[in-house]
Amino acid sequence: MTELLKIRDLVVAFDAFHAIDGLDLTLEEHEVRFVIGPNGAGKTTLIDSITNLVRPTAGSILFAGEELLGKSEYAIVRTGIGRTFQKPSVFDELTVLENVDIAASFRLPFRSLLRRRKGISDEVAQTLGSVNLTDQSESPAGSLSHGQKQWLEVAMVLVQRPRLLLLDEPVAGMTEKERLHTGELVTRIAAEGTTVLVVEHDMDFVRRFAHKVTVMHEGKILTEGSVAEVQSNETVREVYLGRPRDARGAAEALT
Amino acid sequence: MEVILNQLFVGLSIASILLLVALGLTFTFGQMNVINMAHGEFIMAGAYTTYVLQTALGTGFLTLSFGLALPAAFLIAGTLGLILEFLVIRRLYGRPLDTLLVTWGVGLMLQQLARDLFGAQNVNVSAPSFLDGGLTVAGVSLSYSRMFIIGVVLFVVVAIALYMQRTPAGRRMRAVMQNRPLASVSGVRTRVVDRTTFFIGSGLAGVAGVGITLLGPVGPTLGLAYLIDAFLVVIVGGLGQLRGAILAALALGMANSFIEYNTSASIAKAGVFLLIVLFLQWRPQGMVVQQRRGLAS
Amino acid sequence: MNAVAKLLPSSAPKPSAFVVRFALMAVALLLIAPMVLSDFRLSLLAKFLCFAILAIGIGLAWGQGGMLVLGQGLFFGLGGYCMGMHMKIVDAGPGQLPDILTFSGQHESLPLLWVPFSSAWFAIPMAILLPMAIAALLGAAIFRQRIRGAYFAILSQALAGAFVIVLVGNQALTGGTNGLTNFQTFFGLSVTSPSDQRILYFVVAVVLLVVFLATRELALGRYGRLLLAVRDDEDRVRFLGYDPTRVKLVAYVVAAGLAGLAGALFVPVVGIISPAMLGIVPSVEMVIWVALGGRTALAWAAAGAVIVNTAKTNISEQFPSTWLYMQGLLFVVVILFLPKGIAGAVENLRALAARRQPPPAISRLTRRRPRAPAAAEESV
Ligand SMILES: Nc1ncnc2c1ncn2[C@@H]1O[C@H](COP(=O)(O)OP(=O)(O)O)[C@@H](O)[C@H]1O
Ligand SMILES: [Mg+2]
Repeated sequence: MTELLKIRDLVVAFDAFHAIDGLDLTLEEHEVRFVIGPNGAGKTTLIDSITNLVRPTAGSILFAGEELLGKSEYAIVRTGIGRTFQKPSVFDELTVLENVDIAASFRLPFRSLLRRRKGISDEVAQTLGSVNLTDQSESPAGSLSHGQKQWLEVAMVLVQRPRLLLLDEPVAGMTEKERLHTGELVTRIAAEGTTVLVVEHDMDFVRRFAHKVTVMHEGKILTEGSVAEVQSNETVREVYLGRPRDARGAAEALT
Repeated sequence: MEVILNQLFVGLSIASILLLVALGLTFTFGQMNVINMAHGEFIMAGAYTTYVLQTALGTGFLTLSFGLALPAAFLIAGTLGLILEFLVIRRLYGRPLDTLLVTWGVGLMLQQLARDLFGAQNVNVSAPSFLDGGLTVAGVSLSYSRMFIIGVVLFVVVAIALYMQRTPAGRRMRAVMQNRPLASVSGVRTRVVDRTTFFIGSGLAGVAGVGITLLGPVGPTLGLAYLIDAFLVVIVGGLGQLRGAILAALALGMANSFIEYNTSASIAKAGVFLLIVLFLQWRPQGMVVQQRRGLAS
Repeated sequence: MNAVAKLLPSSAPKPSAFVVRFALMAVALLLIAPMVLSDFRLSLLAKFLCFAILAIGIGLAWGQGGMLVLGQGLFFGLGGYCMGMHMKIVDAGPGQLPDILTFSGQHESLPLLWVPFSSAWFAIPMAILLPMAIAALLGAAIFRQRIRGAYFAILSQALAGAFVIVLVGNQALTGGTNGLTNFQTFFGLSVTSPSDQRILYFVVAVVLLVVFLATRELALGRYGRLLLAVRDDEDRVRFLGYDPTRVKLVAYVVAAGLAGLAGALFVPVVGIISPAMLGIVPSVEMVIWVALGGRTALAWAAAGAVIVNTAKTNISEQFPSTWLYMQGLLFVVVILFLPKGIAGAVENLRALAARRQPPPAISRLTRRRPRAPAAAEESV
């Protein structure tokens, strides 16, 4: 297997506070990685720094051997990285179909964007189907439920066929049924060859769909391993249950 | 050397008026996200307040009427601001561009009102006798009226700084500016804070209007020229920043004064604009920036 | 075609409905107006149609793209002066100086700035390209740094203000506050002859119809959707792999070009171009035309320009002071109570007629969100 994403010594500082504090992470091609950790551990900030929404203070992020730091957001997307946001963000005033369509058109030359869309490409139609939004495709995205918006957002990244997909809490606020469907979708995406990094809070969901899990705490990697390994890890329990022990020391002891 | 000192003095006096106008804008913009285009008409209201007092009291009491004009203009312009906030602006929170257009309309109506009340022609306000003439120091002539304006602005800046740093009301104001939801859940009555800010900011425009009567005649459209320049001060200084506003007003005042001296008024305007756009390439958020969390929050 | 595609209707409105509406508009402009209006009124309408061309540009940049362009007078003026300089040179005749330049007594021969405008092949393209170039420079500098919203509005306004000061300050070259006036001919037409003014009216009307169709295509294309997306959430668009700077720049530059075109047509129609028509105050006025018509509907934006200017001409002739109050009130009332302009009101009336009573959900929605979602496509 080859390394797709290689993060080394990443530091993200907000003034004196280090949201990410010397983090190393490697993702293999075709891997599905779950990242868990208590609130404020820096999970969102990790995704933000891969996609240049925040500018890291130090470190390096290599994607397929190419340095991402210093690239603009859209250039990073164009190298093949797609992301969703913790708070679902779709274009409320466009229809569901138009949302997916402009996402799908991002590689078209600018000139051809000036023309009208003719019909619906198979890819867009399929993607809409895969997130169960075919019936809503003519509705404004603003009228969707919270869960449906999250799916629409996933559809918008999926249709771009990224090599690496970054999902930030994709099932937050979803019903049980929707969670199940999302989990299956993630599994299927991975089976089709996309590398996926899922940040998730919901341990049930993680237990059900994760193989390999990375635990973050206070901007560092606490540990990595299978679900069972992580769950039986003393430090992880302490971090989650918040027992009064110096987690920073624990992290150093582990890595 | 004399020339340089002279232009420094002119620049300083331009800067002080700009600052007075910009203070109100930067706080209402920074705290409430409101772009108040009627601010220029509050300046005009302050200027006409001076005129009315002077006409009412007669030319024998120039000093008295001018002294009264400062607090009166503050109160009148501040009250106008409160009325505007209550009638219009509070319906538009969260729509800054729309507040811009609505307050522009209010400004047009106020201008016309001034025309109907005082005539379309400019009126002259006489300076009190103690402001006639000036000093000549090292070959530089410092007019008393410009020195007076600088003095008033210094006083205002110190007062505002003390208000924001030392009083509970000022601390609440800073809290709302930095994080409105947090301030609100911490028990700060944000509506009251907003109204206070609006009152003070508008009142300062009135004070600026009194100062401007010392520099030339007073007319219904007096405010506009100062308004746009003051907005540029806000953009260059950084939103809601006292320190930024001071620095930016000084920078723009000096740039104006020196470019104009070396070329012409029209080139100075264009030149200053170009400098601002170039500056924004380097610091798009202005001189002094407050950190805020972006998209993902 | 797959199942989904069959299931979905095409999202554009039924072409026939638009074709009918457009044909009606064309008939009204090209047949009815010239038949019923006096020479004087028709030439006034020609002037308003020039404004309508400019308004379509504002509709694109502001209504579709969310960029409040407060300095369109600058571009209108550049277009007007380019055309005006050319007409002045032609009027003066070969080897002669235009009267504007002789007043100051400073010029022996045509000043360098004026020389290229002797050629129509230079002047006419410049009337459109110069505004576009300046918009491109300013826009690139501003959008690239993610300066937007009110900041952009104020900067665009300040530039228009500076432009006017430069015009006034260089009287010997530009005619100062008087601007360029006393035109005689426009490409063989006599500017003062009523019959030639009728021809000019047709030129303006046809240009307006073409501009409307072209801009509408742009707005209905993928680019138009992308522009709406940028208006909605510029930062999100970045993470779909687009550069919003480019998206915004196109709309801003097109709007500037249309303003320049409008200015170039305005000069032969009205016979004057002067700084008083271009500064900060007139530039903001242009925005209220579009706000009244409907900022998200291009046709209504154009109509708004005609409506406001008709009202202005009629009212301010008789009660100049009343008009200024009304204009101020227009800003307040439209933005507060009619955020989608007449277009929005018409839409609500239609909904009312269709359902007998307005659906409460929708009216609440429009009250809170000035730019209501769905009908964006239909209203373009
Ligand atoms: N722009 C920012 N400014 C200041 N602090 C920030 C900013 N973004 C994130 N943080 C802080 O960084 C830490 C990590 O945040 P985040 O990555 O959102 O955590 P998670 O997603 O793991 O819950 C938090 O303490 C948060 O308050
Ligand atoms: Mg998070």
